[in-house]
Amino acid sequence: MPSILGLLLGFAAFEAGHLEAPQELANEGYRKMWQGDASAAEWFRRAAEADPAMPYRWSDLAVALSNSGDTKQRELARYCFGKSLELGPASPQLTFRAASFHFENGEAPPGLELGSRVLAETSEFDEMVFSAYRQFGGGQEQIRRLGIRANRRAAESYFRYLAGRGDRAEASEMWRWLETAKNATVPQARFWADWLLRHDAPAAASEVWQRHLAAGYQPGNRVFEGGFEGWSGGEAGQEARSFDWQTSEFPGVHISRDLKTAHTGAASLRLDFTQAENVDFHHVGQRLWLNPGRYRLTAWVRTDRFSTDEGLRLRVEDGGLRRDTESLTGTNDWTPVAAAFTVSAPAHMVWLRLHRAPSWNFENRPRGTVWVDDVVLRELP
Amino acid sequence: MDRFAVTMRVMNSRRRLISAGLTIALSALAQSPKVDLAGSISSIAPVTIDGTKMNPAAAPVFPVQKNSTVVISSAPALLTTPEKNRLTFEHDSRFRLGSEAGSQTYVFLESGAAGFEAFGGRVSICAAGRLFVPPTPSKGYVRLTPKNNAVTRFIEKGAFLEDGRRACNEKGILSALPGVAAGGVGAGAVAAGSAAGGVISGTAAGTAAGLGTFGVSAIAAGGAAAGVATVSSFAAAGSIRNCTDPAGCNFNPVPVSASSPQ
Repeated sequence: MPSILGLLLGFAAFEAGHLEAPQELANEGYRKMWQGDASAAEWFRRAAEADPAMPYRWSDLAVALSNSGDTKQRELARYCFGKSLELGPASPQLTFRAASFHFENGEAPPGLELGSRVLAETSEFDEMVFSAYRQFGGGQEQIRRLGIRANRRAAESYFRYLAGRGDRAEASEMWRWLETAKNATVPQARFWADWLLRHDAPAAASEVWQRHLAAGYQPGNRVFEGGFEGWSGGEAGQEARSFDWQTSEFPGVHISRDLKTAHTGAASLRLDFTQAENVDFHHVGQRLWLNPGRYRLTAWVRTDRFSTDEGLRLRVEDGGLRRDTESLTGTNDWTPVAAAFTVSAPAHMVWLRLHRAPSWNFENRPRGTVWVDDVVLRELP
Repeated sequence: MDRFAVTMRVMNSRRRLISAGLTIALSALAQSPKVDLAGSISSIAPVTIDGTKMNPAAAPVFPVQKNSTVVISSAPALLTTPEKNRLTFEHDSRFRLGSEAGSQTYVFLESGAAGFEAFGGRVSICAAGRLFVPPTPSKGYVRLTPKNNAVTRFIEKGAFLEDGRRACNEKGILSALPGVAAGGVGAGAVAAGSAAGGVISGTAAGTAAGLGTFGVSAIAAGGAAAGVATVSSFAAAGSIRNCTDPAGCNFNPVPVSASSPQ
């Protein structure tokens, strides 16, 4: 009796050993498919037969059938893709495969609908989904309506994808859509203004910046964060700072936002000159896009034991224009400084900088501290 | 109701019908644009299509449109065209899929090699400014040598329909004879190959690697080419640039070296 049982078990084990694992069948299918072997579909069919509850088996089969180029096989592929989505509805891979099938067959709407499901599941496939959209999606309007929908994350990602491709028309269209849907955020606006600046569209960049970062402007003042109240520091690379204060490191000058000293409000810009060098310092500034007209620049400056005859001044300059406020040295309480200038037509970019020129004296190495606050630029009537 | 009113009503309803029909037709057109499909591409390694890296972990096959630039990474890639032709690109190949009139598949090979199995339609491969069109059915390859931009091509049986005599570029086949056009394409030497029982180089047999991430089926790259081809090297007869014969120049290759294993 035990020997018969042993024989039966042995036979069962022998049989099991001969059953091919579905994954191995599928692997063989892929091997065939990547070699361009038409028998791939048969291997996938056997894999699906062996494990019909596994959605990937149906999807694998669908891919092979679709790849065969045969019309009948394609219809079978459609069924198999449907089956795979039925069994694995939340899988971004399966959904993306099915979307690709629709795109390949010129069926943009279902492809976009499936693409939107992929985007809702994961951000990992964004670029691949967007690439398929651009190739086969049938136009930006349709892509947004069916492929992006109300997915705010996907909308931002697609916008950045388009901008990254350097296509201004497509990216601008997407930006307008984000704005209309009230999905445009401040970081996006910073990014877009920066992008426009880099792509020779300064007027559009300025317009985007002023509209979306309006909180940084006081009424009538053309200087962004002139009081440094909301300024987050200007180190390059932190975020896009097209029309924000920009700073760059300079040996011997420490640049910071001072929350203990201010002319008005709670903050000011502080510069500590510590290096014993005759510095030519112009490493704090911001861009201004100005229409033709008369302007007046004012600011409040405070100094503490600032040495040498060359103090810190505010300078407005473009290619042909240079206007300086007076410079302050020594120790001064908050003191107003001002300069007036005219911007000629057409509208153009002007730089506003804090500047300390090198001194010609023997005693030319500045030490001391300067605070700047309430920088205001108004257009004169 | 008088006859005029009746006529107008009929015309209006017809107009509405036509307008509705047109709207449906237009919206259908807008929703399902004609896809200028070059084929579908698959590889076990990422493939870059128009600057976007397509990862096989996401999908084993990606449709690709005409006028796309494709860069193959570390493993060969297979392009299956709607005409069921198969093109196998060697790793590190770079090519543009054009839309040349008269060619169902137009490959502008910038680097690497394209193996072909042509079954139907016209497959044109432009390499180093020279056009190569295999007959159907046929099997072979066109390879660009990176150092000197020379072309090596091979066909298992028969001969190429176009065998490097005509000039071509990224946009298509140039109408001028090579003698006129070659100056503009800067072609290097055209080398021809003859087989000694070879197969398309670059179609490598892989080994199974089980499941990839997310349960995606994957096979590993690797394995040697399934055979060895012996190729004779040839150089172009005379300078392409100096050819001014209006009747066409002879670019039939002449042997310059003995057969050498490739």
